[in-house]
Order: sequence, then structure tokens, then C-alpha cells
Amino acid sequence: MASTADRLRAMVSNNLEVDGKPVNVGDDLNVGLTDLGVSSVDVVAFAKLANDEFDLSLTVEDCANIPTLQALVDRIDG
Amino acid sequence: MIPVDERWWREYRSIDDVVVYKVDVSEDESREALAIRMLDEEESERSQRFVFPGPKRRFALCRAALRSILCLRIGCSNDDLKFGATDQEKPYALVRNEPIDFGFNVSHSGDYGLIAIGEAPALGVDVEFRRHHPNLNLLVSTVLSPDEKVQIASVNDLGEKNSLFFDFWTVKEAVLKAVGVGMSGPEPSEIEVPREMREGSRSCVTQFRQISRRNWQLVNLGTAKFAAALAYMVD
Repeated sequence: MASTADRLRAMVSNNLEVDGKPVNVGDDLNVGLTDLGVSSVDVVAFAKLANDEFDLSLTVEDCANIPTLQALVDRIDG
Repeated sequence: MIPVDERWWREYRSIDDVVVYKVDVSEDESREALAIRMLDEEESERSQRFVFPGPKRRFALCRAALRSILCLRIGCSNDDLKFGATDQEKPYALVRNEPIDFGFNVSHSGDYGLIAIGEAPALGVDVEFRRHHPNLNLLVSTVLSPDEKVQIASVNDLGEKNSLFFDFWTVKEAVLKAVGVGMSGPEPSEIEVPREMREGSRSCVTQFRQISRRNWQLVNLGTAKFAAALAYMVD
């Protein structure tokens, strides 16, 4: 089964766009949604998708406040 | 001071005491370089953290435009201005360490930026360029009220569906930004776009009981290319 990091990377690239292009975060997950420049409407979608994919109960506020994608991986795996 | 003919922003709308400026955030290397020079150390660090060039450019061009507009209105120098944000991410400005006594708000998306300045501290603006959203159905089910969902469902054309969604979303987001509670406030589905605006009115006064019993002025600022809304509290 794919690692949490790989599943999160796939979720980001399949669902988040900046300037019409999919967001590819590469190996370094030490970036936040704010650093990626995704819009607030995308943060709402991201929270819902992450909850479905990883069986979480994140609020939109939780997602907006997660400092980095790596921190989200750690939270899921922790 | 940037000469008028070199500015990348211009007055777009004036409603009551609120002035909305439209900011051209399209690619322009010389403008972006000038904008970055106007940022303070904290803002420069923030702009460097952006992974992609588009968001970095939009942030720099809008923040520099905001700085210029505020300096002209207040009569201060660029170095006198500092910005911060509350725990709920509501931005505020300080001039020589004193808070300014009027409201402002900024939004940008695609090639479009909007800056609203007005007397009311509770003032919010939001813009989204019109596009096909890959998660439209998920968003409709998450952030729209039952009546709004019915209206979206009645539209067959996918482009029109997306467009209508962004019209609704920008009103909700403008209100939430004006309240200053960010993502921790009422659910977007609880901020229902008033029926008259859903039926085509470009502005209306309404109340959102989830927030307060005060009146809100809502204005649709959108065009065929972008959806946008302004919200501010009125007496």
C-alpha cells in the first residue's frame, strides 16, 4: 500500500491547482497550503478530501492552520 | 511615490464611503521588482516562502498597491506602515505603531486583485477568476445552503454552474472576511446569499443572524471574467 506521504502527494496533485496547473509538491512536504498559494475555496475542498481519504475529522480551520504537509502526514501516521 | 501612469491599480468602484481598487496582477517583471522593493522585511520573507511564481507575484503587487493607497489616504510614508494579522488571520495596519481607524481588505485570484477601503472596520472583499473547479460537486455539497443547492442544480451548463458557484462563494467569503473570524466562524453554508442577489440584484442590505443583528451591505462586483463581492456592516 502506498505511504501516507505518497497518497497525500497524489491527493494534492489531483485536486489542487495554481494558475491552472496541478500542484506538484515533489519530495519535500515541508510546505503549507498558504506557501503553495491555494485559494480558500481549495482549502475547503482539501479538508473534505483529506477527511474522506484518511478517515479524519479535520475542520477547514485545522487544514488552514496545518503548518506543512509533512505535519499532516505526521498527524495521520501518529 | 509611484507616478499615476505607472501604477498597476486604479479605482474600480465607489459605493457609499467604500472605494474598491482593481489591481493588475498579471506578469510584469519590472512592476514586480518595484513592488518587492516596497515590502518590509517580514513581507519579503513571506513572499520568498511562496513555492510558485504566480502567488508570489500576486502577493507582492497587491501588498505594494495597498501600501501606496494607505500612504496616500493617511499621509504617511511607506516606512511608517506595518501590517499584522489577528489569530483569526484578520489583517490590520499600524502607522507609527498606532492602528488605523478604518477598514481595508484585499483579495486576489488569477490576474485579478481587489482592494477595498472604507470607514467600516467590518469590511471584506473576495475575488475568484471564473474557471471550472475540479471539485465543484464536493464544494456545492459542502458550502452551499439548501436553497443555493437547488438553484445550482437547476443549471444544466457546467460553465454556468461553476460561474454561479463562484458568485455565491465570493459573497460568503467576503462576509466571513469582514467578520474577521476566518475559517473558525460560521459555516459558509450558514451564510446564505440573499434571494434578491441570487435572482440577479447587484446589491442588497441584509442580516446574518448567525453573526449579529446588524445590517450588511452586499455588492456583486463581478464581471464575465471574475466573480467578486464586497460586504460591509452598515447602521
